[in-house]
Amino acid sequence: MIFKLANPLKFQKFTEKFQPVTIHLALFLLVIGLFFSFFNSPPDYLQGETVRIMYIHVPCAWFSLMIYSIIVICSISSLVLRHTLADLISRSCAPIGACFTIATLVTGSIWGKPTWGTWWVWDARLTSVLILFIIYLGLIIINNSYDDKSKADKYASILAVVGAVNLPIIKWSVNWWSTLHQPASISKLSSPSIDPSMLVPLFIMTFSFFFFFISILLIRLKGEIIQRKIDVIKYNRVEK
Amino acid sequence: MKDFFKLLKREIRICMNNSSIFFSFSTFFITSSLIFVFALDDLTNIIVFYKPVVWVVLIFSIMLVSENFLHEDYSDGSLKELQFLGFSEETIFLCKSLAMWLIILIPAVFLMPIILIFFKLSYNDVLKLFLNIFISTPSLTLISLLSALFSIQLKRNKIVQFVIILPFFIPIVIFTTTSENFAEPSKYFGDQLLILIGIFFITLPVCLYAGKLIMREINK
Amino acid sequence: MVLEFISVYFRRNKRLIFDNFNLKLRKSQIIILIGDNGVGKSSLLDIAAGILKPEKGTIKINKTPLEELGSHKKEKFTYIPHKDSLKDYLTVEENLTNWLSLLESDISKNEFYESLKFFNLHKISQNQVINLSHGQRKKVSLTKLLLSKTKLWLLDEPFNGLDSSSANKCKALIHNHIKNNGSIILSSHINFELKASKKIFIKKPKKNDKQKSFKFNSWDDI
Repeated sequence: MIFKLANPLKFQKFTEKFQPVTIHLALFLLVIGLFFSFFNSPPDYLQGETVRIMYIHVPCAWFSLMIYSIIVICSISSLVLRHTLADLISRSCAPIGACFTIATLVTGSIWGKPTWGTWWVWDARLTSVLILFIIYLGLIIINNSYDDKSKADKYASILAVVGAVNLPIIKWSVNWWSTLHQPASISKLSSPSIDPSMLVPLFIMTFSFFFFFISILLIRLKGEIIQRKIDVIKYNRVEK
Repeated sequence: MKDFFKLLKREIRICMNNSSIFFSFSTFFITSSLIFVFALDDLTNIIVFYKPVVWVVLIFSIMLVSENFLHEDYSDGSLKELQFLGFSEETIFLCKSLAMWLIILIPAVFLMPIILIFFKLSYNDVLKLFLNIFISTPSLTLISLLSALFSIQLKRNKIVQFVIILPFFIPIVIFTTTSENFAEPSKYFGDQLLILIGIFFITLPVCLYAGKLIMREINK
Repeated sequence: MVLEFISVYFRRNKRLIFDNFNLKLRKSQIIILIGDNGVGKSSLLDIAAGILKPEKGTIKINKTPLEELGSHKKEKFTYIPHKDSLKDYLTVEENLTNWLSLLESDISKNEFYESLKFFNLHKISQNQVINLSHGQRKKVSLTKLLLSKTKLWLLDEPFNGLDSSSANKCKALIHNHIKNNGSIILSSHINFELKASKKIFIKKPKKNDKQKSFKFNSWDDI
């Protein structure tokens, strides 16, 4: 599998083949997930119907953290191994992660209005997610502001590794500080403190988002590869 | 170690001759805090606002100065010269930040009496402010120099620098401005300073390592 | 062998600049690098000074690889790059003494002022560098050569901006260094004659070399 991808051309062909599969899977799961979350799951005894925002909010929050972790892993491997694919992945991941983070913040504040009575509070969890969003913005700006792409990649990976300090703060902020935000309900897989009838649509939505993320990532990767090829040809053009 | 002191001596000599850096820093500091004073509505209760004003102004002025501090060295090629003379990148970065701290931020502490008059502070508050600035500015300097390194080759560098710098300043600002009259005034103040010292010992190695990586890339 | 490039492969911003490049500089030898703008003359000097690192190949100074030199680099060569690294608000003298203090060199006051006289800088030694003209700045940075005691000189466009008499002085300086068993690499965008020199014409890589890299067979190509 790895050997098959060890070549930009083959990787490009792989994305062309695999991308439609993932986008269809994502759409299919999204339809099922939305059906489950709207019609086939019980309302919360405390929060009522507003709990259904969870089925978008929680997967988005998970993915905003997961994508940043992917960026950090790719950045470390690009700093150590200097592999171009790692650079490409972290470069293509940054805007997707930023979108998931903004979705988390927006759905969170929509959820917060009926339950907490306010759109926004400055507690540890919300602030650290906002910081994550700003770090994403910094990554995107660095990626786009250098003409020399390899230099931009290097700088962005350094920033991503430095910004990784924020990840554990987000994860455990609900445990370290007393906040309005509730602690994680699904940390223990064996005995989650959430009812299975709510868990099923949540996981379907998560998988749908996962395939959506993969398919967008593949599109962006393909675009990046083509862009790099154009750059190489442009810079090495032979004058006649 | 010998390299370190040689380089530090050089930096300080250069800064001493270019007094405009400190002059612009202090002018910016005073005028922008004045603007805050004018923008405040409730002047009777002005003491409440001194912390946010001082910290926002301090952060902005550190950011502006740090950009000056490195950009000149980059554009006249002396950053490159130091590198091919065989000084390690960590030493260069550490010397730059130490020189900036000594030349600009230590004298800046003596601007605080002006803040005292503006905001009608008690001497006790000013002492606490002194201590806070003294302890948190090393980390602020390191972070702002690192962000200046990130944006040194760009034309729109101020915006980039600001966006990069902001997330890493937030924890420091939070811990410097948290109210000390939280239940136990004296004890809480001590904890807060310890956290700031802890933050410094995290930022120091991280910034040195990241600075080294960037400086190696900068000439490419 | 004072300086040696062994099969250096170097790309800058994905543009191929050197492919399997070899260079040998012996004692009392001058190498002049001649080429158009942007063919990589300055990059070559930067590689020799250890600022840029080639993707493949090694550079040796006196048979030790460059990476192993560390802080001893300053004893091995003097590099005068295109940017003169002079601080605008310091005087000529302060700039040079600052540079000397970084080198730990033990040059007497007398020797120092004699060196200033070589390019007629003694009259302007107390002027701030910001008031000097382009040629005068170049002369200040070339004075570093008189103050240094290294055997190997790397000069990036040394005659740029100099008037004819100063250029002749600079040539005399170069010849004098060669007589004292020194060696020099200098770059120039125009072809000119210098005694006892060997010219290397740097050209852009040919079309055949480039076609190879357009196949994108490995991740390093993009």
